[in-house]
Amino acid sequence: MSAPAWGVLLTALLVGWVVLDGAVQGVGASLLRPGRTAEERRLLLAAVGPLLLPGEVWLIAAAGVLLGAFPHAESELAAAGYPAVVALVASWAVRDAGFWLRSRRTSVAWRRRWDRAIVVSSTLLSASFGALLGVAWGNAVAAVVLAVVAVVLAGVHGRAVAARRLGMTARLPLWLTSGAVAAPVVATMAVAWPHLMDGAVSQEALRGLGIMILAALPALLLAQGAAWWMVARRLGPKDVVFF
Amino acid sequence: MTAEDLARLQFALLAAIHFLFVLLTLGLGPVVAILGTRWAVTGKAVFERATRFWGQIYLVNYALGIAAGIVLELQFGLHFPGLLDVAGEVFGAPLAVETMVAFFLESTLLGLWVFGWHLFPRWLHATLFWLVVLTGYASAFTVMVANGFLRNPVGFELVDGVARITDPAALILNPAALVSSFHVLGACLIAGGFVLVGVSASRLRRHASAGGKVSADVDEDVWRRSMRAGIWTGLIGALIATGFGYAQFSYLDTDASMATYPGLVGSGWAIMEMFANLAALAGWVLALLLIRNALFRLRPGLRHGLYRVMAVLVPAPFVVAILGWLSRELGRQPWVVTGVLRTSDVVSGQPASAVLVSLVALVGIMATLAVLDWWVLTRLAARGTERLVLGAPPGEVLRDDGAGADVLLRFGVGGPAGVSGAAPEVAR
Ligand code: HEM
Repeated sequence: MSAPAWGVLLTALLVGWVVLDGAVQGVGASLLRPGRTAEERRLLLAAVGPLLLPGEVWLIAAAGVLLGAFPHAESELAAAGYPAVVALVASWAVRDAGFWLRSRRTSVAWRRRWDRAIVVSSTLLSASFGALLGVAWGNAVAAVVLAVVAVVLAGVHGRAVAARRLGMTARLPLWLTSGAVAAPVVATMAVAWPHLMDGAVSQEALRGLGIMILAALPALLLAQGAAWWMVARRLGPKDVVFF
Repeated sequence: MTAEDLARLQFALLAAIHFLFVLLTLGLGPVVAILGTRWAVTGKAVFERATRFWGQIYLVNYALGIAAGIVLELQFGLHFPGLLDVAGEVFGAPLAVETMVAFFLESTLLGLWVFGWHLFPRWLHATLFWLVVLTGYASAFTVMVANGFLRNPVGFELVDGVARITDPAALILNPAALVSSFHVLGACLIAGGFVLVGVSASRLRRHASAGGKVSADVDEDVWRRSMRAGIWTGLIGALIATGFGYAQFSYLDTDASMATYPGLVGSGWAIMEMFANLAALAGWVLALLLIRNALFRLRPGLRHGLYRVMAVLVPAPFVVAILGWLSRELGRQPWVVTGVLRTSDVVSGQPASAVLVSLVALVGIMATLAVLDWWVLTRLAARGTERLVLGAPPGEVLRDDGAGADVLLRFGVGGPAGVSGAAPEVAR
């Protein structure tokens, strides 16, 4: 695989993350919207729950591509976007802990506190990712604008995915919101492309790494496909309510 | 403290937190897989309860392991960019394989295992967990390949100040990766064994103090089997850790390892050795006591005391493993890549104040989350096999939660007779 092919893979991984994990973020951020009952909150978490594990791995994989194929671009991005990266990983950790721990206790106060933590961290997660995209554009205004855009789009997208899983809407809104959350990523990659290509490792290294990834691709797609099939179903008696 | 000291301290603390979760993930994984398989094969309810109980512990532990791992992965770019600029091609390659293949699969498959509980046939479900264990181990190995390169750099050459891979096989078969992976595997199994034994012991003690009568919250069969599994897991782990522990001296330069932090590295080695010997000895004795269930028929006073000790000792292998890890990382200093690149040459240009802020924020958050997670784990352990959420029918979970009748209907749980027959969609 050549550097451009790795760039396309990186784009695909980032798009995968905003589409899959973006829905989790959007629902998480909306958890305490006025008028939601405890029961509705649990159903919403159950609706997007199966997306958490197979979704967040896309950004970790993207970070792996940056590290393995574009290490110089990664160190540059981390230096320029230092606060955004710190905010991203911190909010990510809190969001995950919130999902896993919230429903492990029955106490109302315990759940309330985690719900708040989930709302704040989910919002910050979308925002810091958006800001980091903006850093790649190379200016502060883009960082602020994209942070806000990312939060808004994740919210809309999360709502569409939850509505679909709870069995009340058609498929079209889902495609539309997926396209919407993906747009800033694709635009950013286009803008940052020349810079990214400069930050790649040697041809041989890219090729060697590419062979391993291609060999594993069928297994990756099979597992992800099964996960999507699970989420494409209407939430019902065959699901597991863990979050 | 300089920015370099702070960056190193931040990395060390975050790595330690991450590592504590990984130890249990890798140590408990095979046991959950075996329990799940026995459930699939025999269909016995005791294996179902055991799988669900230990699976739940596995999951709640795994969740924070990922979170801590993410925080860790981004540390390189944040604080050690020079490492990526010089050795990114060699060091980054195994990490890229880890994130894109091994970990990607592990997490996706684990998601299928948890949320596909009622969707897949039992045999497929059990197989999924074996794949989770396999990819989890592959993931740990690739990380050790990256770390082994730092400890004992092989299979590369420096071209214009940038490291290039010349021999991928040497990189993978590096004893600092391969031998050390087995050593860590041993450490993980010991940790898993101690948790299995400690939790089972405190459950069985509860049972015994309830006068031996099987009360509703005590699932004696599960705890006895878990105790057995734990003793064997810990013993096997101790033997593996010992064997591969000594084997590590094959690549290690003892004098150089002692050069910078002689006290810490030396006592790390001594404590590991002592602990491994004690654990193996205890493991053999307990394994003998499993014959004809002698362990469970000891005099009550003695047995209670033993159970108490077992429960108290749960943290021990975790502490020892952190010491082992520290001795490896400190033994490498002042190098980040032994003999090739100094740690002081790779740190980022961030001011010390910025590194301090991120240290306080990230370590503070991760330590808080870790403590909360462990607290939840102890509560889950204390609840035993009662009201397990993993693998429960969703309607049951929601009913325990106090959900209303219309929600329950959606999950096939009827209210009073008569109502349950109505089709939910039509009724509304
Ligand atoms: C006779 C027993 C043991 C010996 C001789 C031994 C020896 C060593 C040595 C020399 C290292 C440093 C390797 C390096 O710097 O590259 C090490 C590392 C380590 N040890 Fe041990 N150890 C023993 C038992 C244990 C036990 C019981 C545990 C855990 C409960 C443990 C956990 C670790 C860990 C996690 C590391 C870091 C990873 C690695 O280098 O493999 N060790 N050990």
